[in-house]
Amino acid sequence: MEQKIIEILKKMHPTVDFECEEHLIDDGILDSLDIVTLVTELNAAFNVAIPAIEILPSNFNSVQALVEMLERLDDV
Amino acid sequence: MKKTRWIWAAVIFVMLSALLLGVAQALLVPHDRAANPEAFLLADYFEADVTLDEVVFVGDCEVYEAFSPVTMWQEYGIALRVCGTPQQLAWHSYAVLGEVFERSNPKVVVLSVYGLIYNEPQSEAYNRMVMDHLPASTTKWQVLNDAMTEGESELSYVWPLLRYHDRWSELSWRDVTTLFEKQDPVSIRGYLVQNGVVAGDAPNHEGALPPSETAFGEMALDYFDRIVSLCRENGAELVLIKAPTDSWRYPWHDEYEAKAIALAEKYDLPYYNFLNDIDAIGLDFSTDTYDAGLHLNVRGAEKLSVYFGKILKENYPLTDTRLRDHDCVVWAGDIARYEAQKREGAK
Amino acid sequence: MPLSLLFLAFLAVLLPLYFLLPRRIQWLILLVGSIVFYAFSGWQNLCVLIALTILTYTFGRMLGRSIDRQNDTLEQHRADGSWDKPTRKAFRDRCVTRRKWLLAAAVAADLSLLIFFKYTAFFVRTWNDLTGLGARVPSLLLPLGLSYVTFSAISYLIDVSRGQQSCEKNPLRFALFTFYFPQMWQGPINRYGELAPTLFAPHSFDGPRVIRGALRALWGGVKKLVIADTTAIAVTAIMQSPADFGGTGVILLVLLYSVQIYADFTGGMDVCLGVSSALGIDLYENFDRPFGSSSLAEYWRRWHRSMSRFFTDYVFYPLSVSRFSQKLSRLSRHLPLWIATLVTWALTGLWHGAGWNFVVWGLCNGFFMLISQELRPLRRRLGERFPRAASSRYLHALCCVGTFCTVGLFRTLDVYRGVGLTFSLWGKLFTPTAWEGLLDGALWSALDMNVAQWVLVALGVLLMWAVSRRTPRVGDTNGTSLGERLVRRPLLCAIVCALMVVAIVVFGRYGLGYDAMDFIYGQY
Repeated sequence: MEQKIIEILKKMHPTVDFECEEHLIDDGILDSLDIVTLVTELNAAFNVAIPAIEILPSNFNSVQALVEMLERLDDV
Repeated sequence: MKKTRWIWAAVIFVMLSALLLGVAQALLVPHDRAANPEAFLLADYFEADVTLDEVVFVGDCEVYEAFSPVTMWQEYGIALRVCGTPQQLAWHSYAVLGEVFERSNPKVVVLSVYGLIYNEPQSEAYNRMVMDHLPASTTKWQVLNDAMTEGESELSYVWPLLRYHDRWSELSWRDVTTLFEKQDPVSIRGYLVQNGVVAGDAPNHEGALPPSETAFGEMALDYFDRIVSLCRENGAELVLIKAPTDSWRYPWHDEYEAKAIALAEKYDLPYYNFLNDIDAIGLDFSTDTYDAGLHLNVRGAEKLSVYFGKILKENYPLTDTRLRDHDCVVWAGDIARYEAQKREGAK
Repeated sequence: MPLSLLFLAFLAVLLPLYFLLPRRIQWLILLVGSIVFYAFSGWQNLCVLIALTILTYTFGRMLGRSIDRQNDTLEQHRADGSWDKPTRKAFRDRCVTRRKWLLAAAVAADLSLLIFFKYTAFFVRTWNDLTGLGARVPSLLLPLGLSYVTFSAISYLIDVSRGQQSCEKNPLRFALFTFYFPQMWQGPINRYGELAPTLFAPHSFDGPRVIRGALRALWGGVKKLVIADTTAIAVTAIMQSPADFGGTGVILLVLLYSVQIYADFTGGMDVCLGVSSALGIDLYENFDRPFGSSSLAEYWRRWHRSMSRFFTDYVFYPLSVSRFSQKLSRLSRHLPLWIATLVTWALTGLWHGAGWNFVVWGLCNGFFMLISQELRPLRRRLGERFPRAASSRYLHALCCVGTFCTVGLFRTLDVYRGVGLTFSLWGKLFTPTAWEGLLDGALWSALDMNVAQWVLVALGVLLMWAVSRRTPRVGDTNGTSLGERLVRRPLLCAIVCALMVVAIVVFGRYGLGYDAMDFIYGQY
C-alpha cells in the first residue's frame, strides 16, 4: 500500500522525498489542487471513497498518515 | 522601573500628539484673511474696541455691502458698526447680538429682514463664517444645533481641525507666513469696501424663482422674537431695513414685503424698505453697483448711508461722537484705511 | 463603523468594564457590548442576526444530538456484540444520510437570510433581462457583516454534522460567536472550534498586549483612512468615466486599485484584529503578506485566507471527492478538479457580489489556476532543462510581479462592473495608446489628485511595504512582529502612536464632503 501511494505521489512531484517528508501540507508541498488529484488517484487505486471530512492536514501530511487514514476508512 | 517608563511614554504620547495637532490646527484652519475677507468680518469685530458703539447693524450682505460707517460718522457723528456676514440668518444674528450686548450698549440695532426668508440652515460655509468666530457660550451651542446643515458635527466647531484637516494638500507658503504676522482688518468697522462698477438695471427680479413657501417660517420668526426680546432687555431700539437691491438671484417678492410689514406692525417696529426710496437716495444703478445690481458698491453705500444716517440721527437720541476727542482719534484710523482702500480701488 | 468616534467611545466604556469586572463574566460583557453596538447599526440588523443565531443554534443542537445518538448506539452494539460490522456500517450510513438532509436544511435556512438580503435584487434584474419584464427591483440593505457571520455559522453547522466539533449547548455562548463585535464588519470567517477556546477563556489585563493591539489598530486606521481613501479618489475618477481613460485606465487600476483594496481590507482587518487582540482574543489572520505570492494559487492561500479556507474545505473538497465527480474521473482524471474548481470559484465570485461581473471574476481566477496546474509538467521539464534559471531569484520576483498584475487585472472587473466593458478595455491593453496614455498629463489631472496627495500615497505604499516586510509570515513562530519589538521600547512606542494619531486626524479622509467611506469588503 505504502509503495503504491509513493508511486502516485512521485507522479505529481518527482523531486520530493516522500519516504521521509512529514509535513506535506504544512510546508505547502501539496496544494488543494494536488490533494484532489491525489484523492482521485487513491480512490481508484484502493477502491475506497475518501470523504471530504477526511481531508485534514493531519491525514495528508505524510505517507504514513495516508496509510492510517485508508485503513481507518475501512473500519467502523 | 518598567512602570515609570510607561508612564513617561504615556505623557510623551499625549504631549507630542497635542503639540503636533496644535501646529496642524494653526496651519490648517484658514487664517489668511486677504484670501477670503468675508470669512473674517466677525474676526474684525471681536478684535476691535467696541465699547463706544451706539448703532450696530446685523444681517447679511444687505448690511455689510450697503452701509458705510465712515460716511455716517463723517456726516452725523454716529458711532456705528456692522456685524454682518454672508447670508446671516435669524439664528446667526441672534447669536451675534448676544455677543454684541456682552461687549457694548448700543442704543439702536438695525436688522436686515432679508435673512428671514430662510427657515432652514442653508450653507455650511456661511455657518462657519459666523459660528467659528463666536466665543464658546451656551447660546452658541444652542444656536449651533439649529444652524448646522446636514452632515455637520458639533465636535468640528469645538475642534475645527476635524473640519479643515483636508486643506493639508493645498497648503501654501502664505499659510505659514500669515501665521506669524499681524493681519490688517479686512473691513472698515464691518463694511467691506467694493470699488468696482458693473452697471445693472434698476432693481427688479425678473426671471427669479417664485417666492419661497417657507419664507418668514416658524424657526426664523422664533429667532426674530428672541432678537426683539434681547434688544428690549438691553434697552436697544430695533429697526428693520431692506437694502435697495432686488435681483433674480436675491429677489424681494411682494409676498416677502407684505410679511415684513406685517411683522413690523406686530412688534410695533420701524421698517424701512429702501427700494421705495431709490430716487430720494439718488441711487443710479449704472454706477452704484459692483455686480450688476446684486449689491451696492462704495458709491452706492455712501449715498445710502447719508440717507439712512439722517433718519437715524433724527429719530434716535444718538451722541455726535465727532465732538469727543477720544472718538476722533479712533475714527481717524478707520477713515485713513477707508480712504486708502477707496484710492487703491480707484487705481 | 469601526473608525468612528462612536466606536472609540464604545471601546472606552467596554475595555475598563471588561478588565475590571470578574473574569467569569467577561464573555457576557462582550456579548452585551456586541449586542448594544450591533443595535446602533439599526434594529433590523439586530433582528436578522438574532434570527440567524437562533436558527443556527437550534440546528446545531439537532445535529449534535443525532451524532450522540449514533455514537451511543454504535458503542452499545459494539460492546454487546449484537451487531456485526456490516450492520454497524449500514446503521452509520443511515445516520450520516439523515444528518446530511438535516444539514442541508440548516444551511438552506441560514443562506436564505443572506440570499434574501444580498441577491434578491440580482435575481430580479436577471429575471427582467431574461424575460424582458419590468419587475420592480427591490432595494434591500445588506445587514452589516451578514456575509461573514452567515459563513461562520455555516462552518459551525458543517463541523458539528461531521463530528469535528461538538455542538454548543449554551445559547448565550453561541450567541457571542455570531455577535462578537470585532468581526462584524468584514470577518474573518471564524471556525467555532478555533474561536471558542479563546473567546470564553478568562483574560486578565496584559499591558503590552493592549498596547500591541492599539498599535495594530492605529496602523489599520492609517492604512484605511489615509492610504486607501486617498487612493480611492483616483480609482473613483476612473470608475466614473471608464471610456475616458481607456486602456490606460486599466493599467492605472491594476496599480491603484490594488493599493486601495489592500490598504482598505488589510487596514480594516488590522483594526478589528488589533482591538480583539487587546481584549485577549486572537482572531484568524486573514492575510499573510499576499503580494509576495509567486502564483495565483499561492495568492489565494495568503489573501483573505478565512474565505479561501471556507470555500476550499466546504465547497471545493466535498465537490471534488463527491461520488459524482469521482465517477466522472473515469472519463478523465482531470475532470473532478476542473469541475470543483470552476464551481467553487463561480460561488466565490457570487459571494463577493450579486452581479455577473463577480461570477466572471471568479471564473477567471479558476481558469487561470487550472491552466497553470495543467502546465506544471511543462514547467517541470523546462526547469530540468534550465535548472539555474528555474531557481533564480529574478524568476521568482518576476512571478510575483506577474501574479500581482494578474490579480489586479482580474480585479478591474470589480471596478468597471460591466463584463463586456471590462473585456473591451482589457483588449485595449494591446494597443500602444493605452501605454502612451501614461505620459499624458491631461489624463493624470483627470484623476483628481494633486501632487501632495500622490506623494502621500507613494509614502503610504513604501510604508506598507516596509511594515509588511518586517511582519513575520503566518505560522512563523520565530519571527517577532513589529508590534512586539516596539512594545519593548515605550518611548518609541509613544512617538509612533502619536504620529499615527496625527496622520489619521490630518491626512485621513473623513468629515464633511466625504460620506465616510465604507469598507470595500464590508459590502461583500
